[in-house]
Amino acid sequence: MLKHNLKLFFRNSNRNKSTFCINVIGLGVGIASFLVLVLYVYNDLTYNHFNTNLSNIYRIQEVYEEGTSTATKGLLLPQMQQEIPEIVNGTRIFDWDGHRLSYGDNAFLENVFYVDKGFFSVFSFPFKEGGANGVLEEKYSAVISAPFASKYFGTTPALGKQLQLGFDDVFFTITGVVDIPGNSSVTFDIVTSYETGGTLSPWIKDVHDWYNTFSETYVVLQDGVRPSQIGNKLDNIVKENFLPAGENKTKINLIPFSEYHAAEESNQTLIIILAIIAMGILSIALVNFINLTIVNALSRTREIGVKKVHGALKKHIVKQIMVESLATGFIALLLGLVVFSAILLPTFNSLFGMELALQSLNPYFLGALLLGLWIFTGLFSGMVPSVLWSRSKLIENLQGKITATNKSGFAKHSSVIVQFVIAIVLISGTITVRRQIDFMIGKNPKFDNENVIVAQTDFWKHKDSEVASRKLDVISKELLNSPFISSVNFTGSVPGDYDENYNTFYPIGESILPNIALRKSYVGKDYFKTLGIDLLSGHGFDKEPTSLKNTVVLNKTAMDQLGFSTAEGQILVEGRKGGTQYRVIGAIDDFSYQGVQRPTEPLAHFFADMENLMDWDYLTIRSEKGATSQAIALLREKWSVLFPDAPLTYFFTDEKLNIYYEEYERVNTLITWFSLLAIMLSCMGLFALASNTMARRTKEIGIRKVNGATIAQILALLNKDFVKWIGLAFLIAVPISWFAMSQWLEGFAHKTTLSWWVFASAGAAALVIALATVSWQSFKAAVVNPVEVLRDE
Amino acid sequence: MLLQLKNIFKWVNSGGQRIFLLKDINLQVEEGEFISVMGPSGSGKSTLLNVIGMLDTFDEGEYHFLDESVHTLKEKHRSNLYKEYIGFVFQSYHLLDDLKVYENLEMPLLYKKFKGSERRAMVADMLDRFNIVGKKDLFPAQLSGGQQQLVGVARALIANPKLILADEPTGNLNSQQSEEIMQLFKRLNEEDGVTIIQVTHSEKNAAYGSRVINLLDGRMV
Repeated sequence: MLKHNLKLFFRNSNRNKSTFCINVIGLGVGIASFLVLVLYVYNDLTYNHFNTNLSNIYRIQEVYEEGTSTATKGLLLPQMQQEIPEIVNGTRIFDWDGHRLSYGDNAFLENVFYVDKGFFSVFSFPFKEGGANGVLEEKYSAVISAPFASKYFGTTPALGKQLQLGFDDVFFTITGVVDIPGNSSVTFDIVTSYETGGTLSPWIKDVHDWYNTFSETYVVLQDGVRPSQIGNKLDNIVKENFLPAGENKTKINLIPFSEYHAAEESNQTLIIILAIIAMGILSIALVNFINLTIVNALSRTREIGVKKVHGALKKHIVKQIMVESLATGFIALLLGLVVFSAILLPTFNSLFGMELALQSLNPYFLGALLLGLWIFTGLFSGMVPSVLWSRSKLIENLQGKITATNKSGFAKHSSVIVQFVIAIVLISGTITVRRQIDFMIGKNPKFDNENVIVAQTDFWKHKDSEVASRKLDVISKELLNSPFISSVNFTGSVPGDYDENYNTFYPIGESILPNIALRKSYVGKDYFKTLGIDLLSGHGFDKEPTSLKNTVVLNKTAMDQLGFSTAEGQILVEGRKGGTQYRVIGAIDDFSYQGVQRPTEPLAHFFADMENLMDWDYLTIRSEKGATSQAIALLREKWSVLFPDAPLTYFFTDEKLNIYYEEYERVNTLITWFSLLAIMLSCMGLFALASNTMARRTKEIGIRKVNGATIAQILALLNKDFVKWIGLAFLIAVPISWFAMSQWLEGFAHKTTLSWWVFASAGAAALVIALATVSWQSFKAAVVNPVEVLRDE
Repeated sequence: MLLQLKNIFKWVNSGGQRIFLLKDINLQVEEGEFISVMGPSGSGKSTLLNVIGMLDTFDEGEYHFLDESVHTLKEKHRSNLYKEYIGFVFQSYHLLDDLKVYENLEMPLLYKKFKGSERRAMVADMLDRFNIVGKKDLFPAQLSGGQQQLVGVARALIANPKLILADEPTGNLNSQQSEEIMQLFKRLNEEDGVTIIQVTHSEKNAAYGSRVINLLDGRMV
């Protein structure tokens, strides 16, 4: 019987190739997109699971009155390990230091992490070369990641190789290479021990005190110990050590590392977007499948009738349909796997810089998932036609008549509605995301983003930085003399690259006011002038009234939060009582120093006068209007003469800023492609449905034409219904889409408006596409010679 | 006696009026009879055949088939009954397009719990008897109308029914093909003792039978 059913299935699908292809392709793509979603969510839910003692790992968080921070005080971990025996292991991670590392001619500026000895026993990174045991014991030993290893050493083994630090006679010895799993919250390129770090950069010892918060801290609790059990001991440590001693109200919170990713890092928006897309595509495909199966089933009513006459029972009929839909589902699943692994997954991975792979899934889970998908799509789509078929009347079957025509008409059109609701939501989503990105990119940055060129000093490339500094001085002076260039300035920050360096300040004399956290940056004398940032009151660092020592320029947000109306006469104190006092000499407008999806923070610019110009990160150059290309040519020329070995790297300010919007560009690409896919699948379904509807109305069309209807009138008649259904879909889609989009826009500090025309154009697009699809069928039906259809059977 | 219809009425309600499809039909059929049902279009011939074949219900009257009272039976029993004793032949053959000739013959057996080997033997026997062994791997579309109806008859006979119901079996055939099918019916009736009830428009075809029933507006005349 199974053989008989399968035989019928293959012969029937062979005869109805287009229907079969629409089914299989649609379902396959739906399944493939669903798999991407599953893989992403699975990856997200199993974040950090490779750590064997995950349930006992905690990340330390400091909770202040003003907020929380996972940057912790440097002396906290040693103190905790000393006073709290329940803490069996722990490590800090210090990621603020960079060094030039080289192997032969291969040289890069690298972010070197310093960690405690416990690092490789707290986290269970799988070692590709070497092993975790005592791997950082030796001074100057270092562990690197696999991509880092191939960057320096290619395919040759890294173990035992040496990397030169700067230009000195100091070398790291590679003692291990680890494969950091894609879903690890902790990642690094190269780590070495705190001792090594302390020798390389003695300054880090200064920032490991009871005030600064430069390190991340992780601890491992004894099995069965809950964080609440050591709460008192933690409070004690705060009381005895945190400044001001005895009065500090900070709480130390232990975030379970197993929950850390979901709570702090996870990209929920992307998950929601992916879920909407995957479910949308899958439902469109399922709707198509059910629709086409019904259409196909109806065209086979005679077959069912004949079978019933020859003794087939309801169960035989249901079984046959289920076999067919399960077989289709199975082929779709295979196709889906191919589409998934050959197209969707690689594209998704490269778009979002991820390394998702099916192999990362537990094989039982994967098996159950695929089986579940198959059974679900197969049974679900077989359900409607089997009910329809098995209930139909025998005699009517034999005459090829379909029972309950009216009802199935609505059922079929309701599926068109569902599909177009999804399509319209996706189209308007695409438009809105695009508009928000354009809005952010196009928003007035309040600095000159057309004429400012930023050159990297690339200080790490130079062996003798004093010589390099003198050369840099020459370049800057020569540039300033050029008629093409209006201003030149050295700086530590440029828009798009402001350090995450915060400290608390309060206005002098008003100690009742809560502290304000200012984001600090250090700039040269002509920074505001060179970048074209407007001064609202006071002046920048280019006018020297008395001395620039201990002066600060605030942005408008900082001024507003402090309640200052003008800059003059205001004095801020940094940190705690008795801290350094700064005179506010100027207030600048709120310019875009980071992506405008984030709210503007209160900024403080401090003047710095570096003796060695190589201590700056950037040289900024403002050209005269329209003279950028001449300015760049000049810069290149001077640079290549003085620094023949260190090629110039430069960029425009908005390029750096636009990096903040890359994630949204990716999301936009994702939605755009899937919208197209959704529309395509919907149209395929609609096409098949339309051809069926037309076939059933040929007689009506014939009669109308004999009675004088023109082709145009027939076309209008046939298309009217589809317009009606799409209109209904539009009405349903608008509120859904409006709600989803306003939710999404909530996440942006500066957002575009949701105009009515976004929805209108999405609806119009859907309508035009649908009509184009349907009209071909309508036209074919309308031009048929009535004699042919009215001939009696 | 094979079957008996007593005072059978069948009607539909249309526009507040009761329209009779069958009106007071009384008919007794003995085993081995070959009956032709005749009458103009719309006189109720096919309806009568469907009622006899238990494919359709009736509204009033009694129907006895062998020892069973069909009018009191539940649908499931009814279908078991016709499955076992009745074979159908249709004007448009109703062969399944996606099945080859031998698969079409095998199809009814699939629903009657025959083993694979038994099915193959019965199909082979039937192919042999109808002289269509050479055509067993062809699809219906590859056969002429007459050959298709031959397969249709073979399929109706494969489970050894007592009664063959044929609704205008030669309606789509030319005169020579018609002749062959009627000869076949006659042989089946005379040599194998199969009871046949056929609906026909043709006096010539009706002449093959042993008895003619004339219908007009749902009544026997």
